[in-house]
Formats: sequence, structure tokens, C-alpha cells
Amino acid sequence: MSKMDQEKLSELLSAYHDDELEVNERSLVDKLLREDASARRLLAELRETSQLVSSLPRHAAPASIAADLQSRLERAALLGDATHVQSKPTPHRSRRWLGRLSLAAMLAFAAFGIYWFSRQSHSTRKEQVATTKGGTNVEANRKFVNVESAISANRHIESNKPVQLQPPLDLRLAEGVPSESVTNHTFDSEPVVWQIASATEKDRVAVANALTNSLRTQGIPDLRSNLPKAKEAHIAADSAFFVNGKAGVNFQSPEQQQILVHAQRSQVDAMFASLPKTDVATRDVQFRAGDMMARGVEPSRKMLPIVQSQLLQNAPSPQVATRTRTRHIASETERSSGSGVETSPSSAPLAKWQPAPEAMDAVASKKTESKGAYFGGLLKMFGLDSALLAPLEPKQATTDQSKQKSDQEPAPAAPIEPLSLVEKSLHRMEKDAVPRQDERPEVEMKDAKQDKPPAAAAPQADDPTITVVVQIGPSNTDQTSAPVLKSDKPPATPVGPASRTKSK
Amino acid sequence: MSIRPKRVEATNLDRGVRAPVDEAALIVRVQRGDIEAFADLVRAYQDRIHNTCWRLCGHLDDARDLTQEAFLKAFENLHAFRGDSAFYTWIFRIAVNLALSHRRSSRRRGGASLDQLLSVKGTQAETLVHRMRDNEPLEPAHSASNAEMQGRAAHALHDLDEEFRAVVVLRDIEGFDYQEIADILGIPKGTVRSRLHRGRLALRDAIAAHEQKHGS
Repeated sequence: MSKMDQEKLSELLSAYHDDELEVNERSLVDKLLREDASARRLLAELRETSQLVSSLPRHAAPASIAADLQSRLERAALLGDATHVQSKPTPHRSRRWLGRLSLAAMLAFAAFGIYWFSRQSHSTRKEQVATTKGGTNVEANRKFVNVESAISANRHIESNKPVQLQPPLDLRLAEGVPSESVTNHTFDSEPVVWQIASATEKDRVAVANALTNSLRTQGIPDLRSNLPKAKEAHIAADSAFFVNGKAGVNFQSPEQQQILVHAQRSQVDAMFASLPKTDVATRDVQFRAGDMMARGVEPSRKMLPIVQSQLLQNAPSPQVATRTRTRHIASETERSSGSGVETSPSSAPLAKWQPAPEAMDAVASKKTESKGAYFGGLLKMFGLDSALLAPLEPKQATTDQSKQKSDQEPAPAAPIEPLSLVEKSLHRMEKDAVPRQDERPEVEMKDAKQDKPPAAAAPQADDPTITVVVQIGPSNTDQTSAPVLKSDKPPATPVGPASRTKSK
Repeated sequence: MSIRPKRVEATNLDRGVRAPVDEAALIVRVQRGDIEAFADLVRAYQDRIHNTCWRLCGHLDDARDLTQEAFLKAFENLHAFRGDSAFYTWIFRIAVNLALSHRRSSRRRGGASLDQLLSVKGTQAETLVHRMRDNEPLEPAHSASNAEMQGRAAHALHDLDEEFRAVVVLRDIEGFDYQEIADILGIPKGTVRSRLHRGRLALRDAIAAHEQKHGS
């Protein structure tokens, strides 16, 4: 028998063992097995080998495989893409990548360290220059942001998780609404009070109507529809308070120039997007948050993150922030005494937004204490180090004129503001958020005497809110030239902390 | 005459036993997005897929990963499954391809481990249970000798060439017939018969060489 025949015979025997032969092949093998002992021996060996392999122990899959797969697929389905689920390697397999990941992490850490130190050194040099030029580095904090340039930066900012700016919901905002109407509604989100001011009644009404209509188009029901008729009269006709949609507008503030918007960021952005429908010259609309002002809203109108980003990027050092805060107080003093300190029209009504009675009581109890102690207390309330007040000397914070006025008339406690959450964020992030000159959009330096610092007051000491000012109208109008708004309608019950101002 | 171990009760862990599931209905449900139905499919085949991957790649941890990966791959592509072949053939093809591919890459990285081929906790106990169910004698000397033979067979199987090992595992361990193996591996039926025969001869020779080397 040739080798090929032997190979063929062996293959037939293997298939014979597996019962995989055709009828004629099987007959042939049966005949061969009867006649050939070597064929019988080969078949026995193949059979023994096969049985030995088939007797090898089996190992069941871990019981958790199906459950793991199911949970991962369900999770992926919830995230919107269940058809691309990455297999989860066991620690055994992941060890292969451990070295590479460690190396990558080390490189990333080293790069971040270099970047951080370069920014720190740049910040130090910049502060030194500002101090040398003017004796104070106020200029470093007061800038107009070119919005068109900031919009491109905004695209990047939008993709990042924003700094937590939203304080817990404060139902003080609903003070203007009968409590029984408010308590029937729940706020399951965390809106923020956005303070908007306008220079003229026409613009104010136009903006307020636009904002209100925008809320309506967002499907946010008006609380007034739930009010008893007797109570409805309690709210001015031109004010509204939207509750179910977690947003609200009361544009009949005590100052007649403010619009209090209680809404979330996206809602506010949507509201501002409706401004072109009004006659308001959008190029004159300004947003203000802290010391930053952004001029113009076109084309994206994503002003709030722009202002926020600029706040963070241009965060001053602790000393700078503290001096700026003190200067705010001095300006308030000057205004209350009728001095001619130039202020922007938007800052005037905002400056009269007084803190909550609790904060006022706290101020009254500490009248005999020094300002530093007072601010130290406020800082402690916000978990900040009172050592920040070290450079807080009146000579640093006020002009000579304002100092004179403040000597004649003690500064009212009302305008003294607790640090807002934005400013707290600034304090925390200032060390690593100092802007690089080459990254900063076009800015306009503004002198401190020509532009009063905004009095973006948090309404209550224990609940700081973010105040963003939208100023409509020319930006450099003096307070004295700003038109005094006269409303024929009775003023609406103020919403929010402004009501406390009125009650005072 | 073929001698095969008697099975009193079949489970989906046993060779050649199809899971008693209505595959077609489950597949339709999965194609409609029913993840629970897919979990049923996984439960029906996970043991056999896992055991096959283990025998092909030689490592339990890798076998677990390969099993998961095979089912995820199946889930991703189940929308394109038209039923031209049986689902178990389809999923086995995915798993075998993954295992063989993994084996090749792990050999390039320095070879697969030979451990756990037999000394896996639980597998000996499972074998014992099977033998008790089959009323096989449990003489200590016989058991020791059988375990030794199984160890040799396991090592010989692990060292077998890839093309032979796949057909031997699918036939002698998983109990697929030639046509099913041909479908899984994507090769002609005659090639399956040839490879299986040559693989068995290679195993026989390797086991015999191991016996001579260790004097048993």
C-alpha cells in the first residue's frame, strides 16, 4: 500500500470514527477493518486520542458574564450608543497598558507643571508693571472685552464644564408673588438671578417684553395664571413670574431700571437671542459681571459664558480683588453723598440693590468694629481667609475725593456687599487663571474714576448670587444724565432682595 | 464503533448540546433592541464559547475577555445577521476567529501560558461529577492515570498547530460535525476531515513522545 493510500486510509478511519463517511466509503472501511489488523490498530489509536481529548475538563464561563454584558449594553443604550460598547479588559489584560498609561500621565503632569509655572511668572510680571504705572493695579482689572474676539474663545469654553456659578434656589425671588402660589410649585433646578439694567424706559420695556415673550415661547407658564384674581392685582401688569419653567422675570424693580431675571443660563441665552426683535440697538447692549464688561452681543449672544470666561481668565490677585471691593464701597459712599463721581448708568440702580435684612443686622451689630473686621466677618461667612484684607486700607481703596466724602458722612451699610460666588471663584482660581497677554482678546482699558465699579450685590450674605448686568444704551453716560424713569403704573411688588431695599 | 461518554443529563456546558432556546425569536427581539433577549442568548452559549476560547488560547482570563468580546461583537453586528447560517455557528465563528487571532498576537508577545490547562479549580470536580453521573468507576489508580493522560493530551493540544487545534477542539471537545466546523472556520468540509485526521495523528504522536520522555 503506497503512502498516499495509507494517508487516505488513515483519513477514512478518522472520519469513520466520527461517523462522517458516505455509504460507499463506510462499506470500504468496514471491509478493510475485517481484513487488516493494522487498520484496526490505527482506528483504535485515533479513537483513543479523540476520546482523550473529549474527556478533557471543561470550564464554565463566569456566571457574571451575561449580567455584565447586559448592564454594559443597557448603560450604553442609555448613553445613546449601545452598538459601540468597548469590551472591558480584565486587570490581567489592562496590565499591558499600565506602563504606557503611567508614562503618558507623567508626561501630562510635567507639561501641566511647566504651563502653570509659566503662567505664574507671567502674572507676577504683569502685576508688577501695573503697580509701577499707576500706583495701583486697578487697570489690570477693568477692561472692556471685545465680544467678537471672545466669541471664538467661547466655543471652547462652552465645551467645558462651567465653574459652578449657580447658588441654591432662593425663594426670596418669589417674594413678590403670594406665598401660597409659590409653594404649590417646585423648583427642581437651580436658576440664578440675572440682573439687567437699562438706561431708558423704552429700552427697558423693550428688553423686558422680549425676555418675557422668550419665556413664553420656551413654554414656560406664567405663575400669574395660577393666581387668584385678587392676588393677581398684586403683581404689576408689566411684570411676570414664571415658576413652572424654573424661570422668572420681574422687570418692575424698585429702581425702575432693573430687570430681574430668574432663570438658568440656557434660558437667559435664549431670552437674549430674542433681543433683535426689539428696537434696542444691540451694539450698545453691555453685560457686566464683576469688573468685566462685555460690549455688544452679536452674533452668538452667548454673553453669559463669555463674561464668565473673561472673569476667570482675568481673575485678579487676592490683593487686587480686595482693593477693588473696597473701591466699590467708596464709590457707594460718594454717590450717597451726592458727589460727582462718574458712574455708568447701569451701575446706579444696581448699586442700590441692598443686602438682605440678615446681612443688614450683621452690619448693624458690627458698626463699632472696623471695616476690616466687618469684611473679615463677611469673608469668613464665605469661607475665605480674612488675611485677604491685609492690604485693605482706605487710602488704597478710595480717591481723595471719596475719602473726604466718606469722612463727612459714614458709609451706609446697605451697599456693602458680600462677595459673590463669582468673586469667590475668582479668589480660588486666580492663581492659575491669570491670562496670557497673547491669549486675551482685544480689551479696552478703562480708568477707575471714569467708570464706577459695578455694585453687583449678592442679595443675601449666605446665598451669593451672580449678577450680570446688561446695560442698554451708551456706555459712558453719566449717572446724572441718565433719564429718570417715570412709570405711570404702580410699581410692581419687587421680586427678590430689592424688595428689602424698598421696605427699608 | 464509536464510544462516547454517557450523559445522563445534558447541559449547555456539554459538548454537542444545543441550548434549548428559541434562537430565532430571541434574535428578532435583539434586533429590535431587546437587551434582555440578548442576555438570554449569551446565557445559552456562554459556557461553550468560553470553553472553546480557553482551549484555543490557553488562558482563563483571556478566555473570559474573548468571550465577552465575541458577544459584544455579535451584538454590534446582529442587525446584519440574516439567518443564512445558524446563530451558534455564527457566534462560534466570531469567537474562534478572535481566539486564534489572540493566540497569534500573544505568541508574538512571548507565548501563551501553559498553566490552567488542567489545574483549574472546579474543572476536576466537574469531571468527577460527570463520571459519577456516567457511573464510571472511581478507582484511585485509574483516576490518577486518567488525570495524567489528560494532562498530556492538554499539553499536546496546546502545542498543536493552529489549523489542527481548531478543528480538533470543535470536533472532539465541542462535538460539532464536519459541516458545522466547515461553516465556522470557513473552509471546505474535505479540509476539515483532512485537518482533523492529521491533527489526531499529531496528537497521538505527541502524547506517545511525552510518555517515552517521562518513562511512563
